[in-house]
Amino acid sequence: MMMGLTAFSALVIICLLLTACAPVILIGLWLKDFLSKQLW
Amino acid sequence: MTEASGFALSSSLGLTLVVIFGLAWILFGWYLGRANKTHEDFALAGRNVGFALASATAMATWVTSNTTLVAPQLTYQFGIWGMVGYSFAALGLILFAPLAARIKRLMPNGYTSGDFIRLRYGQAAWWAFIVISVVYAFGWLVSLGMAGGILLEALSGLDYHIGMTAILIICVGYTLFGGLRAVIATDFIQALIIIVGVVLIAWFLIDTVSLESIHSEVQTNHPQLLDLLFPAAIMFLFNNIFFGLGEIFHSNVWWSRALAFKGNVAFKAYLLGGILWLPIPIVTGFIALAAPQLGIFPPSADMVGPMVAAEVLGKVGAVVVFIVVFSALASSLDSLLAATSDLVTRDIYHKKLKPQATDKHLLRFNRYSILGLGVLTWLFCLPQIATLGALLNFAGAFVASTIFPVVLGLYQRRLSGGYAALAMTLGTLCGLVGYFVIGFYVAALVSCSVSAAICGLGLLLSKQQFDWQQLDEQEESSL
Repeated sequence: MMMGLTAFSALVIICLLLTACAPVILIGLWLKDFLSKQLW
Repeated sequence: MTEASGFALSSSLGLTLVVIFGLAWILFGWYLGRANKTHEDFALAGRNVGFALASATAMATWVTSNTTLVAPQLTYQFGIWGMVGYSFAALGLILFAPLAARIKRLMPNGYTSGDFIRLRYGQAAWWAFIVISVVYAFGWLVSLGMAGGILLEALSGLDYHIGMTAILIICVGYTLFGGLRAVIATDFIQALIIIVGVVLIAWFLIDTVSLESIHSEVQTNHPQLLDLLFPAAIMFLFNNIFFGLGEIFHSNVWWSRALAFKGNVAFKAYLLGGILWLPIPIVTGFIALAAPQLGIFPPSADMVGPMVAAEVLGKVGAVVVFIVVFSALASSLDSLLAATSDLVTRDIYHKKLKPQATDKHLLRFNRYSILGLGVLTWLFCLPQIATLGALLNFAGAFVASTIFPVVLGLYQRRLSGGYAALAMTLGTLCGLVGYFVIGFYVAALVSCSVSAAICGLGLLLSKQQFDWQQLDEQEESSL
């Protein structure tokens, strides 16, 4: 059973978008911890 | 690739990037290390790491050279299941989240995973566990050191030995100065660099080559790579799940972090780290599927990712790949150096050789251990002995045998030390037989299955009722 173009494209694009969200989440969390002096 | 040299970067540019990054990380490590006053500060960052840094270090440490070099390699060999299977290693982080919270609760004064095995199961299991830990730690350290050399050589033509030596000196340098605090802080920055770099490379690849043409080329000339019923690849998928679980559940890299995170942070941090990590191997892996279309047939399969990126994006792409893989290597190498040196210092030196060692003494010995591990790794890396994937999967036979002893040890009072020791020893031996007789893609599966069967037997036959209080060991050393 072969993976079709639609499934292949969806898999790659969804993963790319999720990966792209990660820096925003990490920087947001860092700012929150930094402002509340909870980094360390 | 540049026509004159055949490499994407010149040797001098490659070396310049290494020197700039190296100096930056070492200075940063030294700056952070000024806050380390005790051995606990150095080894566990004062047990006070917040949520943001904790999540980033969980994710960045799991993004290793293997995610950036081996995920494309496995996609190149196993197609869709190669990259999806690799991404399932995120389960290791996600399932470790509840374990991390329990570890922190049961062992508020613990230092290492070895502490747990020693207190929970006794000496025989501890010896089996230490052998497994050392083999795994060295396999991973050597694979990371080798990856540094391979990366520099493939992208800039710089001699393998120079690249490998440079990455080791840099990571040993800043870990030596800053301890776990430096490791975690650099992990945060490295995590951002890795993710942004990977997204940029994949985005430009899609923009330049297009998903349609990559799919069409693979479907025509390499249809097995899109086959969802590719038997060896499906076996690899399950093997990789157990391998990932074994790596994380036993390794002091993850235990020391669980013990270093603030009170209730451990669960949330590992869960978020795993979720953020999950899509990354699919993004890095998919890059490899463009190789046949671009006419790239790498001399070593683990170089397929960097070569595709460098081919499509030219010099800028090569610089981005270089920085991404360099950051991925550093974020794992430093963690491994810190965690393994903690094991040597705490489990072997403090608990076996010098029980009366002072805090100052332990801090100094921990630093010597980091230096010693760096030198040993360098010696093992000198001959380029295996591809990264082969080296990595060999360790699967060892670590997968620890999954059930660790999990049952944390939640079940009944399993005794004898059964745990037998499960780890026989599981590892059978996993090695599977590795050599069948193939690398079954080593972890066999190892975990045998270990699970022995642990199951142990639960049925064992009569002991372990007292959880015994895990809360009080410190003996003095300042």
